[in-house]
Amino acid sequence: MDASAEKGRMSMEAKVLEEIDPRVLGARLQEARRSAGLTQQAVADRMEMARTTVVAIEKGERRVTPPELIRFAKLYLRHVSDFVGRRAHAEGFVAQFRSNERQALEENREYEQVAIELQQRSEDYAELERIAGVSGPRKYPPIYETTGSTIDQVASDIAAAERNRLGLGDGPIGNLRERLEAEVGLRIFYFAMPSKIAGAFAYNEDLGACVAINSNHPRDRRQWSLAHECGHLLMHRYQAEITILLDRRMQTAKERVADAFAENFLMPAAGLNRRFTDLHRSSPKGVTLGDMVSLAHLYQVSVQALVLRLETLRRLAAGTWERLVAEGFEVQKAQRLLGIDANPPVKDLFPQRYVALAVSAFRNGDLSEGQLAKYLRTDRLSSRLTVEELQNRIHREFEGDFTELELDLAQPLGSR
Amino acid sequence: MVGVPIILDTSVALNLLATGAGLAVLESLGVKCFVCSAVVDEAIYIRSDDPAQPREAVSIDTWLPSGAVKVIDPESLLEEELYVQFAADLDDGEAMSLAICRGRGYALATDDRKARRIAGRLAFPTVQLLSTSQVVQHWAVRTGAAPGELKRILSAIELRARFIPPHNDPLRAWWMRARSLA
Repeated sequence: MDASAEKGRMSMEAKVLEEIDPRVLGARLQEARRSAGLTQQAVADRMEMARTTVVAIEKGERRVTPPELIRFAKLYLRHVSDFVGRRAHAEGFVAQFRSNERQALEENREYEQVAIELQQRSEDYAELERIAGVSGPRKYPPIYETTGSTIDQVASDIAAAERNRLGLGDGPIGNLRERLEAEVGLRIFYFAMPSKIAGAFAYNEDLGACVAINSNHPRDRRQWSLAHECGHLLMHRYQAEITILLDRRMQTAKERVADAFAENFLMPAAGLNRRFTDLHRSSPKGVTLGDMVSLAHLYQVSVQALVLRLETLRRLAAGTWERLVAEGFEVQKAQRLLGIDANPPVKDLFPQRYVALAVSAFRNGDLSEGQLAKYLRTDRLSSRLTVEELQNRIHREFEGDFTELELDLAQPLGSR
Repeated sequence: MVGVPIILDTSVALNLLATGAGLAVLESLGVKCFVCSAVVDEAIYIRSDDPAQPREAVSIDTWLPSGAVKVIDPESLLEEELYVQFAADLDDGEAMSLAICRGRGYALATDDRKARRIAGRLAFPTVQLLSTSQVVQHWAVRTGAAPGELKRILSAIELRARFIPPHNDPLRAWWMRARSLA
């Protein structure tokens, strides 16, 4: 092919690096560099360019060429599509975390990685909504005031108000995640994090309220973390938070009130008192350890959290949990004896709506199979199985014949 | 089938790997076959024969020693520019495969609806497209495969790679017939 033909073809096709906002591309490159743990100087050396050039590219002051972008991607162990792929771009959560958690982020890159992961998943969610031409529910209440009373009282009042708003009554919440996704509009993602990190919360106007929960943690801890992060939405919406597991005495006031909210939200005093009284009435010998293990399972909280809550409510003597620990009480053994599976793995790492949007986009030809796998953070086979699952093939009997029907759970009703 | 070299993207490579006879199928095509480096780098799994068992990792690397399949990368500035351009709408394996096909006039074997649509929109010279069903049918005709063997290959693709030709595939009826033969 002659050179003029090649040039003509490129002028028709190679426009992405001209179309993309260089500041957006620069921000993505910077995030990838930081994620790879490389300094600008190290990158400049490897790319055989001046450090000032790397700085200019990351600031969006100099455009990258296609060969440079391919080399950047190789150096950062990323895909080229990570940088130029069409996806929503929003104000960076990392910057928010940095301003609020300066010390923690500077000390530990693992924390920053959590912020980046949350940002990417949230941007992907927004992009899937854009492709589908829909927007997610945002039913956030006004930010609750946290001053003027004790932490426990503030948390109790806000938990009661929020339960009332969501029509939850005062019982255990069996499907907290689904309710927070559908009825509040939280974007909730589960992914593996270092064990000392329980979760993260961040909010901005473009992406809404986004939560990450450590998928490696036990179910009870995940449930607690979810309620805790929800507390941040209600009380500290504009302050991004990474929840690090610390001794209570080391916690900031914000973390303490979010924990107190979780305690009151998951185990409201009125309902828990009533159930405890019922247990008392039904067993002549009094409430047993087995009752506590079962009750904790019902509320999806740890036995420790339940016993401490009952101590606070003065239904159990102060120091009961400490005594149980000193006596060698083993929660997992007790759960096994009672046939309780208290630690099922997370079933869905992404919101069901996110998966449905991704599958729908794939089926409409708006996402390729490779892109679908990337959106679902999985491989091709698992993507195909997910598509199958959402497109359940069922059989219908009609005058003695069975016909295969495709039940497409991702299809909007209006399009039938 | 086609008189030009063929580049396989992951969607077709996965299906052929699931048959356990992918190399024989590709050799029957009688042209050079390539996979691009971004496809080779992808982790590929297939379902075990027993669905209760864990999935199995498979690799395109097993095809390479024979020389029938070679790894390919963008070489010219044009191919690099096309790769970056296509990566705005496809994943890297798909984008790189299409870019090289476009740059060198090779055929692209892909079942992906979006990749096929993007390839189909390209102005002259167009990229020839192949699908899993075309490749397997060509192998069956060329080698005179016994119905039982063809059925085994198609079943493996359906069960282990979870792929069935889409409704708009002209060879879907052929596939279903061959699949149901004893």
